[in-house]
Amino acid sequence: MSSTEQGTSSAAPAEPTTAPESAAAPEVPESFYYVHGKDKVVHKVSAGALQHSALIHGMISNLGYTEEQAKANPFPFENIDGDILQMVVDWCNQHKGKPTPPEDTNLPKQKEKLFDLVLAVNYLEIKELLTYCCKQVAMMVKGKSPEEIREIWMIPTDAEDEAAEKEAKKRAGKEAAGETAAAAGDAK
Amino acid sequence: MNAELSSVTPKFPNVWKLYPVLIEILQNMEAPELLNLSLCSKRALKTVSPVCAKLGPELEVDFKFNDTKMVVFNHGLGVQTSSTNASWQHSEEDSFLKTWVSSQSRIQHIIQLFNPTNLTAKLDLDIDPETTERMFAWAKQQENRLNYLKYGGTSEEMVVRFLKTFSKCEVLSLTGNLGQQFRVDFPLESTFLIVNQAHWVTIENIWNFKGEVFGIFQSSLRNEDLNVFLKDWQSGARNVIEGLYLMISFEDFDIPTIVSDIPHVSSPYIRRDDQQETILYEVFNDDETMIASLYCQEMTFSKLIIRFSDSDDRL
Repeated sequence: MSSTEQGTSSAAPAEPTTAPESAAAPEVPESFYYVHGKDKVVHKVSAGALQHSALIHGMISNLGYTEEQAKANPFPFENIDGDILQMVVDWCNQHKGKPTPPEDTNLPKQKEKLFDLVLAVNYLEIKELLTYCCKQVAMMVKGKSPEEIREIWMIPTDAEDEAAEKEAKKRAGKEAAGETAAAAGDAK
Repeated sequence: MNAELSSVTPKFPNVWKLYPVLIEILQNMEAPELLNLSLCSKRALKTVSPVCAKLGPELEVDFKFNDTKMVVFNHGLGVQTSSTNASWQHSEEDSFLKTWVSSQSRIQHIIQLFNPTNLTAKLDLDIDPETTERMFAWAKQQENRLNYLKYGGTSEEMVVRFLKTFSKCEVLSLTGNLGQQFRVDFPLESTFLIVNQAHWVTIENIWNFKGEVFGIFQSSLRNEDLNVFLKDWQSGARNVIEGLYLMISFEDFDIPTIVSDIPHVSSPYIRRDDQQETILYEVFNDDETMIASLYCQEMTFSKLIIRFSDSDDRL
């Protein structure tokens, strides 16, 4: 996986947020990898913390990068906002090598942020964090009426759904017509 | 959500396009929220339905059509989980009838959505004649689904009609402050009949009971009545259904008095429900066949349990 020019040159790697290893930690030096999101800010994360992500763990398990190679080739996650990736990295660092607690109260309360976090966590395949996020999303509508749920979760009404479906069919029809015309042009 | 449809609705958050995520979110929701979500749109209903259908067999759905003029939907996932509910009424001024009529589609929606194996309804048949008729009609229509039907009113006429109309319902429960002269002179046929404030239940009602379990609480029966009853049973003069399970509570019940002059043995017994030790009395026939066993149960209040069974089916 290649890094972006901007990612490797202009952004300084953020230090891991975990406390230094205790004296009882294994003597083998821990390897670090680098990731960045849409904002190109590079985060330095230990291999231990990255184990939470099945996607990244799968990527790095056979790489055998040296420190320099890892630094030169940060994993780009262009589809994840910088602040969301920061949250994910912080969570992985905080829960490195620890059993995950039954609840996590540090998840964002703002629904857009939470939804973005769900998407990122699902993409990165961080199962425990995804479970917490899904619980938190479910909790958003506890005790709410249908109208309140519709507003909180931005659920379209039947009329909006029908209009959107109609629009999609119209668009699909136009595209199909365009393709047919293009094919006819090619044939000539 | 349907991926094809969700992709054409910009308002819908992207998070709903991920089916496994969506299912995990829905699985973390409780029945009232799933119900309310299903009411948001046709698409929401389609999405929620499979999750609700899985929940249905475990769910005990309980409708209360009660004197607070509200339709209350309760659900409970077993005794370990506290029940939560959703309720609705139109406005303070609206009659219950209006709320009831306008609630029919929602009640039907809930039943179809969860398709519960345990459906309970508590009817208030004392609100007004028209609402009463509609409740009877509704319960009759749901007869095959309803396995627990309750009535908690004070109308003697309604009690008689309730007992006769819903005799096929698995469990019937009556709680009502009825007149002292009130009696029932027809056979009680429910499989499982619970009567609270049961001053009206007579020994004759027990003889004529056709079901399996009869709970008679706050009864006006006396130890002497039950002693005569057991003697008649023991002598073969009269019979009750084999395997009948009677639960009776009344003031100052005393099992030694109930079994006096009847061949019996008493021995320590650990109750299955609360693992507490009590005394089990086993009543015998002249040929030394055990015909019934009696003990005291004190779970919520003290009650006498009489189980009519033979020696091959000892407790």
